[in-house]
Amino acid sequence: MPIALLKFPSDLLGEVFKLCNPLELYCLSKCSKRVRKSITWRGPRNWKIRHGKSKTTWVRCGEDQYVFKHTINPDEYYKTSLWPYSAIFSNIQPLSMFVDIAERGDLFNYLLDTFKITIVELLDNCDEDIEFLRQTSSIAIDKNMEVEQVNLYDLKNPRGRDAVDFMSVMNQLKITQSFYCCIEFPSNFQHQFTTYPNEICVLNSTWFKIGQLLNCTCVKIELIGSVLRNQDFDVFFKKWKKTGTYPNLRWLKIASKKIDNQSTILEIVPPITNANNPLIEASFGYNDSFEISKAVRITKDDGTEGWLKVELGNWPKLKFLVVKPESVNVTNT
Amino acid sequence: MSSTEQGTSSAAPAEPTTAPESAAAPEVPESFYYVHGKDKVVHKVSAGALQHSALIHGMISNLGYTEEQAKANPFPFENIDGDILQMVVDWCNQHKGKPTPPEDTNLPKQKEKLFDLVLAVNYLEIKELLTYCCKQVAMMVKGKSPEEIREIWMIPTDAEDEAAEKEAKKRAGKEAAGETAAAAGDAK
Repeated sequence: MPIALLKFPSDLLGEVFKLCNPLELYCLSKCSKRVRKSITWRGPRNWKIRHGKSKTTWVRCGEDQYVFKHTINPDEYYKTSLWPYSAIFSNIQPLSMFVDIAERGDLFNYLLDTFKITIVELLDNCDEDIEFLRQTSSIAIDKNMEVEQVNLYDLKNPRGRDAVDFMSVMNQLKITQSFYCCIEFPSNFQHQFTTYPNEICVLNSTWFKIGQLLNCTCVKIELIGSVLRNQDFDVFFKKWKKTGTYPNLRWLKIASKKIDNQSTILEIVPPITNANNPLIEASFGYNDSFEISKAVRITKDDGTEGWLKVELGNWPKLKFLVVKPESVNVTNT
Repeated sequence: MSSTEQGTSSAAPAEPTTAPESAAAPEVPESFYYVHGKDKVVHKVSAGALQHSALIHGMISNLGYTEEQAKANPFPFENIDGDILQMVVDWCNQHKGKPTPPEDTNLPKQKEKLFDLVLAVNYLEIKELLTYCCKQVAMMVKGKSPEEIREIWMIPTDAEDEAAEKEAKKRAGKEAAGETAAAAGDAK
């Protein structure tokens, strides 16, 4: 029995729309321009959008996630099924729906405009399609959207040439949560972040120089394959000790072949460790927990404590955990 | 105005419909109010049952009727069909003094009446029933394609919308021209 939905008063129409998931609203928006306008007019939704593997686009509404899958087969359009795997950080299998592959480039924009989505949950190049990443990043920049996370995976093309070009685009993104990068850039590559997210994790981090580290405002910094030296760390920790510096920093982990026992860090020659000191565990961020044992305590001028451990060997590394009493466990080992 | 038992219309005046009472009689005598729809059939409903409707509850609070006054002045809802009002009254009676469970088996099932029911419930401001009704409406298009949705929810195509808009403009133009001519005639 049909029902004349558009004859409902506006608030009632809004109530019905509220009970529809993004896949249903997408189908509804395809019914007519008038309906799409009516959906859009309901204002910004607290939803997030991201791309996934196999040319999928995901919309997250709180705990629930919905997947737009692309197909070239018109018979499959608008067919729904459960996604075969649980979503990230969830036990729920998302509902998925096939849409026209020709729309892939436009779909992102269409969903943003129709649902007034203001947050991009994740931008990455998991499909090895950096051009598509560039396009979607440009949209996010134009619309001044918050981007929670950017992941850049290594590219097969020589020395990540395309990625070099992308980095200037990336610098215009408003990344809030985390930046992960494992691209091996050319040796002469230079990059200066304009703003920092909460977390940064860089593999092949030869381009992340001391200047960046000194200005970094992250909560968590992990640099693997770094070329930072003892002298750099000495400068960094002398700055850290001053009151008011690095107010956010909780965790620093740097693996660098340049760490050695030839010069001091805070007047200590590496390795920097104290076997008598306890295991310190701290949790913060998104269910992240960190631990450091047999470390040396260093104290900021304002009394804040940090635990530093520097190990030598084949893979020299430095770990530093800043202690906040509310999130720390101390275990004597 | 005619009164009925359980909403069945009757020519002769009769006692208005009474809500089905729960097994245990209330200790304090309950007050009753009277409502009627487009068909003028009067339904007797307890104040407890009517609490579901924010609109009626507000009217009751403002009026401060005695039982006699309430009987003599049923609340008129001329915009609601009699059978729809009956459904609503039944639901209010069944849920007197208790919240609606998430899956309510006592809710009206008639799909063909859903549109009118939603409008009535929205007008009477019965929040829980409205949520259920909207859920029913939303369920109608689960897993459907845009083409199917257009049929189920009677959504005009863009071309139909454009044609209707043109028609409306044309009509408005004609009406405006008519008014101008009439005004000119009056001036003469």
